Amino acid sequence: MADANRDEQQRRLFDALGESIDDTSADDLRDEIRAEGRDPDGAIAGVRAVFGRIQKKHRQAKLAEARTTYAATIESLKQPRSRRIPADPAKQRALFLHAIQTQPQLTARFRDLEAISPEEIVQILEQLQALDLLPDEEP
Amino acid sequence: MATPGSRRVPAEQAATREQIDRAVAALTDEEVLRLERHAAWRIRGLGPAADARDAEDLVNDAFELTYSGARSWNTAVPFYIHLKGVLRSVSDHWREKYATQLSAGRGRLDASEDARTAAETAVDDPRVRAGFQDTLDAVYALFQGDRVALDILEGLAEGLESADIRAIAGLGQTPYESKVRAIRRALIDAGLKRPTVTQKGPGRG
Repeated sequence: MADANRDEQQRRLFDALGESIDDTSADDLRDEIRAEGRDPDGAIAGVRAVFGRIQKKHRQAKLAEARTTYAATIESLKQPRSRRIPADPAKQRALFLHAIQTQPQLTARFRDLEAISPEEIVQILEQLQALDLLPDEEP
Repeated sequence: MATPGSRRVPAEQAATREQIDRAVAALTDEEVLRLERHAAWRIRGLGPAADARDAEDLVNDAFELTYSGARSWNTAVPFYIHLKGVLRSVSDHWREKYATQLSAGRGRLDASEDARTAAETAVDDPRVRAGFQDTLDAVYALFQGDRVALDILEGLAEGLESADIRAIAGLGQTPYESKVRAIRRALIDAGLKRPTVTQKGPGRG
Protein backbone atom coordinates (compact mmCIF):
# COMPACT_ATOMS: atom_id res chain seq x y z
CA MET A 1 0.00 0.00 0.00
CA ALA A 2 1.63 3.22 -1.09
CA ASP A 3 2.15 5.82 1.63
CA ALA A 4 0.76 8.49 -0.64
CA ASN A 5 -2.63 6.80 -0.36
CA ARG A 6 -2.72 6.65 3.44
CA ASP A 7 -4.67 9.83 3.93
CA GLU A 8 -7.19 8.79 1.32
CA GLN A 9 -7.55 5.37 2.98
CA GLN A 10 -8.08 7.00 6.33
CA ARG A 11 -10.69 9.32 4.86
CA ARG A 12 -12.53 6.44 3.20
CA LEU A 13 -12.39 4.34 6.35
CA PHE A 14 -13.80 7.02 8.61
CA ASP A 15 -16.42 8.01 6.03
CA ALA A 16 -17.62 4.43 5.77
CA LEU A 17 -17.63 3.78 9.52
CA GLY A 18 -19.41 7.11 10.02
CA GLU A 19 -22.28 5.95 7.84
CA SER A 20 -23.12 3.41 10.51
CA ILE A 21 -24.17 6.28 12.78
CA ASP A 22 -27.48 6.38 10.96
CA ASP A 23 -27.96 2.66 11.62
CA THR A 24 -27.13 2.97 15.32
CA SER A 25 -29.92 3.32 17.83
CA ALA A 26 -30.35 6.63 19.62
CA ASP A 27 -29.76 4.85 22.93
CA ASP A 28 -26.41 3.53 21.73
CA LEU A 29 -25.45 6.97 20.44
CA ARG A 30 -26.31 8.48 23.81
CA ASP A 31 -24.21 5.79 25.41
CA GLU A 32 -21.28 6.76 23.17
CA ILE A 33 -21.47 10.32 24.40
CA ARG A 34 -21.54 9.16 28.00
CA ALA A 35 -18.48 7.03 27.24
CA GLU A 36 -16.76 10.23 26.19
CA GLY A 37 -17.57 11.65 29.60
CA ARG A 38 -20.26 13.98 28.36
CA ASP A 39 -23.97 14.38 28.87
CA PRO A 40 -26.04 13.45 25.77
CA ASP A 41 -28.71 16.06 26.45
CA GLY A 42 -25.99 18.62 26.94
CA ALA A 43 -24.49 17.65 23.59
CA ILE A 44 -27.88 18.09 21.89
CA ALA A 45 -28.36 21.43 23.60
CA GLY A 46 -24.88 22.44 22.47
CA VAL A 47 -25.72 21.83 18.81
CA ARG A 48 -29.02 23.67 19.13
CA ALA A 49 -27.16 26.55 20.78
CA VAL A 50 -24.83 26.75 17.76
CA PHE A 51 -27.85 26.99 15.45
CA GLY A 52 -29.39 29.64 17.67
CA ARG A 53 -26.24 31.77 17.82
CA ILE A 54 -25.89 31.83 14.04
CA GLN A 55 -29.58 32.58 13.51
CA LYS A 56 -29.39 35.43 16.01
CA LYS A 57 -26.22 36.82 14.44
CA HIS A 58 -27.81 36.93 11.01
CA ARG A 59 -31.07 38.41 12.34
CA GLN A 60 -29.11 41.17 14.05
CA ALA A 61 -27.13 41.83 10.88
CA LYS A 62 -30.37 42.07 8.91
CA LEU A 63 -31.83 44.44 11.48
CA ALA A 64 -28.70 46.60 11.40
CA GLU A 65 -28.92 46.71 7.60
CA ALA A 66 -32.57 47.75 7.77
CA ARG A 67 -31.69 50.48 10.27
CA THR A 68 -28.94 51.75 7.99
CA THR A 69 -31.30 51.81 5.01
CA TYR A 70 -33.95 53.59 7.07
CA ALA A 71 -31.46 56.20 8.26
CA ALA A 72 -30.25 56.76 4.69
CA THR A 73 -33.84 57.19 3.50
CA ILE A 74 -34.61 59.70 6.24
CA GLU A 75 -31.43 61.58 5.41
CA SER A 76 -32.30 61.69 1.73
CA LEU A 77 -35.75 63.08 2.56
CA LYS A 78 -34.08 65.90 4.46
CA GLN A 79 -32.05 66.88 1.43
CA PRO A 80 -33.37 69.82 -0.66
CA ARG A 81 -35.19 68.66 -3.75
CA SER A 82 -33.18 68.95 -6.90
CA ARG A 83 -36.23 70.04 -8.82
CA ARG A 84 -37.23 73.55 -7.86
CA ILE A 85 -40.53 75.28 -8.48
CA PRO A 86 -39.88 78.16 -10.85
CA ALA A 87 -40.81 81.66 -9.79
CA ASP A 88 -42.32 82.63 -13.11
CA PRO A 89 -46.11 81.84 -13.23
CA ALA A 90 -45.90 80.84 -16.89
CA LYS A 91 -43.12 78.37 -16.10
CA GLN A 92 -45.10 77.18 -13.08
CA ARG A 93 -48.09 76.43 -15.29
CA ALA A 94 -45.85 74.70 -17.84
CA LEU A 95 -44.30 72.57 -15.10
CA PHE A 96 -47.73 71.77 -13.71
CA LEU A 97 -49.00 70.68 -17.14
CA HIS A 98 -45.87 68.61 -17.68
CA ALA A 99 -46.25 67.00 -14.25
CA ILE A 100 -49.81 65.87 -14.79
CA GLN A 101 -48.97 64.60 -18.27
CA THR A 102 -46.22 62.40 -16.84
CA GLN A 103 -48.38 61.28 -13.91
CA PRO A 104 -51.46 59.61 -15.42
CA GLN A 105 -53.09 59.25 -12.02
CA LEU A 106 -53.14 63.06 -11.70
CA THR A 107 -54.64 63.76 -15.10
CA ALA A 108 -58.11 62.66 -14.11
CA ARG A 109 -58.13 65.02 -11.13
CA PHE A 110 -57.52 68.14 -13.21
CA ARG A 111 -59.92 68.05 -16.11
CA ASP A 112 -60.50 71.82 -16.41
CA LEU A 113 -56.89 72.91 -16.49
CA GLU A 114 -57.59 76.49 -17.59
CA ALA A 115 -59.76 77.08 -14.53
CA ILE A 116 -56.97 76.43 -12.08
CA SER A 117 -55.62 79.66 -10.67
CA PRO A 118 -51.88 80.46 -10.48
CA GLU A 119 -52.12 80.23 -6.66
CA GLU A 120 -53.63 76.77 -6.87
CA ILE A 121 -50.91 75.71 -9.29
CA VAL A 122 -48.22 76.75 -6.82
CA GLN A 123 -49.95 74.81 -4.03
CA ILE A 124 -50.25 71.73 -6.23
CA LEU A 125 -46.61 72.01 -7.30
CA GLU A 126 -45.54 72.26 -3.64
CA GLN A 127 -47.56 69.15 -2.81
CA LEU A 128 -46.07 67.27 -5.76
CA GLN A 129 -42.61 68.39 -4.70
CA ALA A 130 -43.18 67.12 -1.16
CA LEU A 131 -44.24 63.79 -2.62
CA ASP A 132 -41.24 63.80 -4.94
CA LEU A 133 -43.56 63.62 -7.92
CA LEU A 134 -42.20 66.57 -9.88
CA PRO A 135 -40.67 65.40 -13.14
CA ASP A 136 -36.89 65.64 -13.33
CA GLU A 137 -36.74 66.74 -16.92
CA GLU A 138 -37.71 70.16 -18.20
CA PRO A 139 -41.19 70.53 -19.73
CA MET B 1 -15.50 32.22 4.73
CA ALA B 2 -14.52 29.74 2.08
CA THR B 3 -17.34 27.70 0.66
CA PRO B 4 -16.17 24.10 0.61
CA GLY B 5 -18.00 21.91 -1.81
CA SER B 6 -20.19 24.72 -3.08
CA ARG B 7 -22.87 23.48 -5.39
CA ARG B 8 -25.38 25.38 -7.38
CA VAL B 9 -28.91 24.81 -6.18
CA PRO B 10 -31.76 25.82 -8.51
CA ALA B 11 -33.07 29.17 -7.27
CA GLU B 12 -36.59 27.83 -6.88
CA GLN B 13 -35.31 25.03 -4.66
CA ALA B 14 -32.87 27.04 -2.53
CA ALA B 15 -34.26 27.51 0.95
CA THR B 16 -35.02 30.93 2.36
CA ARG B 17 -33.91 31.86 5.87
CA GLU B 18 -37.47 31.37 7.04
CA GLN B 19 -37.52 27.85 5.64
CA ILE B 20 -34.22 27.09 7.35
CA ASP B 21 -35.56 28.49 10.63
CA ARG B 22 -38.56 26.19 10.37
CA ALA B 23 -36.38 23.22 9.47
CA VAL B 24 -34.10 23.83 12.44
CA ALA B 25 -37.08 24.08 14.76
CA ALA B 26 -38.43 20.84 13.31
CA LEU B 27 -35.21 18.85 13.86
CA THR B 28 -35.89 16.22 16.48
CA ASP B 29 -33.55 15.62 19.38
CA GLU B 30 -32.61 12.33 17.78
CA GLU B 31 -31.64 14.03 14.52
CA VAL B 32 -29.62 16.63 16.42
CA LEU B 33 -27.99 13.83 18.36
CA ARG B 34 -27.04 12.07 15.10
CA LEU B 35 -25.67 15.30 13.63
CA GLU B 36 -23.52 15.76 16.72
CA ARG B 37 -22.26 12.17 16.35
CA HIS B 38 -21.46 12.71 12.67
CA ALA B 39 -19.57 15.89 13.52
CA ALA B 40 -17.69 14.23 16.38
CA TRP B 41 -16.82 11.27 14.19
CA ARG B 42 -15.51 13.51 11.43
CA ILE B 43 -13.32 15.31 13.94
CA ARG B 44 -11.86 11.95 14.96
CA GLY B 45 -11.32 11.06 11.32
CA LEU B 46 -9.46 14.29 10.73
CA GLY B 47 -6.84 13.33 13.27
CA PRO B 48 -4.18 16.05 13.42
CA ALA B 49 -5.95 17.92 10.63
CA ALA B 50 -8.70 18.80 13.12
CA ASP B 51 -6.11 21.16 14.56
CA ALA B 52 -7.83 21.59 17.95
CA ARG B 53 -11.25 22.10 16.41
CA ASP B 54 -14.11 20.13 17.92
CA ALA B 55 -17.52 18.89 16.80
CA GLU B 56 -19.16 22.16 17.74
CA ASP B 57 -16.75 24.07 15.49
CA LEU B 58 -17.68 21.77 12.62
CA VAL B 59 -21.40 22.17 13.21
CA ASN B 60 -20.87 25.90 13.46
CA ASP B 61 -19.14 26.17 10.08
CA ALA B 62 -21.60 23.84 8.37
CA PHE B 63 -24.63 25.74 9.62
CA GLU B 64 -23.04 29.14 8.97
CA LEU B 65 -22.43 28.14 5.34
CA THR B 66 -26.02 26.96 5.07
CA TYR B 67 -27.59 29.96 6.76
CA SER B 68 -25.48 32.48 4.86
CA GLY B 69 -26.46 30.84 1.58
CA ALA B 70 -22.90 29.89 0.71
CA ARG B 71 -24.06 26.27 0.78
CA SER B 72 -27.70 26.60 -0.06
CA TRP B 73 -30.08 23.98 1.22
CA ASN B 74 -31.98 22.38 -1.62
CA THR B 75 -35.40 21.93 -0.07
CA ALA B 76 -35.91 18.80 -2.15
CA VAL B 77 -33.39 17.18 0.21
CA PRO B 78 -34.20 16.56 3.88
CA PHE B 79 -32.53 19.18 6.05
CA TYR B 80 -30.78 16.55 8.15
CA ILE B 81 -29.24 15.00 5.03
CA HIS B 82 -28.15 18.43 3.82
CA LEU B 83 -26.39 19.26 7.08
CA LYS B 84 -24.74 15.87 7.16
CA GLY B 85 -23.38 16.55 3.67
CA VAL B 86 -22.06 19.96 4.62
CA LEU B 87 -20.35 18.51 7.70
CA ARG B 88 -18.56 16.19 5.34
CA SER B 89 -17.52 18.84 2.84
CA VAL B 90 -16.29 21.20 5.56
CA SER B 91 -14.21 18.48 7.19
CA ASP B 92 -12.81 17.45 3.79
CA HIS B 93 -11.93 21.09 3.22
CA TRP B 94 -10.11 21.28 6.56
CA ARG B 95 -8.21 18.11 5.70
CA GLU B 96 -7.08 19.48 2.35
CA LYS B 97 -6.13 22.78 3.90
CA TYR B 98 -4.12 21.16 6.66
CA ALA B 99 -2.21 19.00 4.21
CA THR B 100 -1.51 22.00 2.02
CA GLN B 101 -0.34 24.19 4.87
CA LEU B 102 1.80 21.53 6.43
CA SER B 103 3.41 20.73 3.14
CA ALA B 104 3.95 24.34 2.25
CA GLY B 105 5.20 25.09 5.75
CA ARG B 106 3.41 28.36 5.84
CA GLY B 107 0.39 29.97 7.32
CA ARG B 108 -3.03 30.62 6.05
CA LEU B 109 -4.02 29.70 2.54
CA ASP B 110 -7.35 30.21 0.95
CA ALA B 111 -9.16 27.30 -0.62
CA SER B 112 -8.20 28.42 -4.07
CA GLU B 113 -7.54 26.17 -7.00
CA ASP B 114 -3.83 26.57 -6.30
CA ALA B 115 -4.33 25.33 -2.77
CA ARG B 116 -6.37 22.37 -3.96
CA THR B 117 -3.67 21.42 -6.43
CA ALA B 118 -1.08 21.69 -3.69
CA ALA B 119 -3.21 19.48 -1.45
CA GLU B 120 -3.17 16.72 -4.01
CA THR B 121 0.58 16.57 -3.89
CA ALA B 122 0.98 17.36 -0.20
CA VAL B 123 0.61 13.72 0.79
CA ASP B 124 4.11 13.17 -0.52
CA ASP B 125 5.31 15.25 2.40
CA PRO B 126 6.58 12.91 5.17
CA ARG B 127 5.14 15.12 7.88
CA VAL B 128 1.69 14.88 6.33
CA ARG B 129 2.06 11.15 5.83
CA ALA B 130 3.07 10.70 9.45
CA GLY B 131 -0.12 12.24 10.77
CA PHE B 132 -2.43 10.12 8.64
CA GLN B 133 -0.34 6.97 8.95
CA ASP B 134 -0.34 7.17 12.75
CA THR B 135 -4.11 7.21 12.75
CA LEU B 136 -4.49 4.24 10.43
CA ASP B 137 -1.84 2.25 12.27
CA ALA B 138 -3.57 2.96 15.57
CA VAL B 139 -6.86 1.72 14.14
CA TYR B 140 -5.37 -1.49 12.75
CA ALA B 141 -3.40 -2.12 15.95
CA LEU B 142 -6.57 -1.92 17.98
CA PHE B 143 -8.11 -4.83 16.09
CA GLN B 144 -5.03 -6.98 15.84
CA GLY B 145 -6.16 -10.59 16.21
CA ASP B 146 -9.71 -9.86 15.03
CA ARG B 147 -9.52 -11.10 11.45
CA VAL B 148 -13.10 -10.15 10.59
CA ALA B 149 -12.62 -6.61 11.85
CA LEU B 150 -9.37 -6.27 9.92
CA ASP B 151 -11.03 -7.56 6.74
CA ILE B 152 -13.73 -4.95 7.14
CA LEU B 153 -11.30 -2.15 7.98
CA GLU B 154 -9.02 -2.95 5.07
CA GLY B 155 -11.96 -3.29 2.71
CA LEU B 156 -13.46 0.02 3.77
CA ALA B 157 -10.07 1.75 3.54
CA GLU B 158 -9.67 0.39 0.02
CA GLY B 159 -13.12 1.68 -0.90
CA LEU B 160 -14.64 -1.76 -1.52
CA GLU B 161 -18.39 -2.19 -1.69
CA SER B 162 -19.98 -3.73 1.40
CA ALA B 163 -21.05 -6.77 -0.62
CA ASP B 164 -17.42 -7.45 -1.55
CA ILE B 165 -16.26 -6.95 2.03
CA ARG B 166 -18.97 -9.27 3.31
CA ALA B 167 -17.83 -11.91 0.83
CA ILE B 168 -14.22 -11.55 2.00
CA ALA B 169 -15.16 -11.56 5.67
CA GLY B 170 -17.79 -14.26 5.24
CA LEU B 171 -20.54 -12.20 6.84
CA GLY B 172 -24.20 -11.72 6.09
CA GLN B 173 -25.72 -8.24 5.86
CA THR B 174 -26.92 -7.97 9.45
CA PRO B 175 -23.79 -9.37 11.15
CA TYR B 176 -21.72 -7.12 8.89
CA GLU B 177 -23.64 -4.01 9.92
CA SER B 178 -23.42 -5.02 13.57
CA LYS B 179 -19.69 -5.52 13.25
CA VAL B 180 -19.21 -2.12 11.61
CA ARG B 181 -21.12 -0.48 14.45
CA ALA B 182 -19.04 -2.42 16.96
CA ILE B 183 -15.81 -1.32 15.28
CA ARG B 184 -16.84 2.31 15.39
CA ARG B 185 -17.82 2.00 19.03
CA ALA B 186 -14.57 0.23 19.88
CA LEU B 187 -12.64 3.10 18.34
CA ILE B 188 -14.55 5.55 20.47
CA ASP B 189 -14.06 3.48 23.62
CA ALA B 190 -10.36 3.23 22.82
CA GLY B 191 -10.28 6.99 23.09
CA LEU B 192 -9.10 7.58 19.58
CA LYS B 193 -9.90 11.23 19.90
CA ARG B 194 -6.58 12.54 18.82
CA PRO B 195 -4.22 10.16 17.07
CA THR B 196 -0.58 10.37 18.01
CA VAL B 197 1.03 13.11 16.06
CA THR B 198 4.70 13.75 15.65
CA GLN B 199 4.28 17.20 14.22
CA LYS B 200 2.47 20.22 15.53
CA GLY B 201 -0.18 21.46 13.14
CA PRO B 202 0.49 24.44 10.92
CA GLY B 203 -2.14 26.57 12.58
CA ARG B 204 -5.70 27.08 11.64
CA GLY B 205 -6.52 28.96 8.48
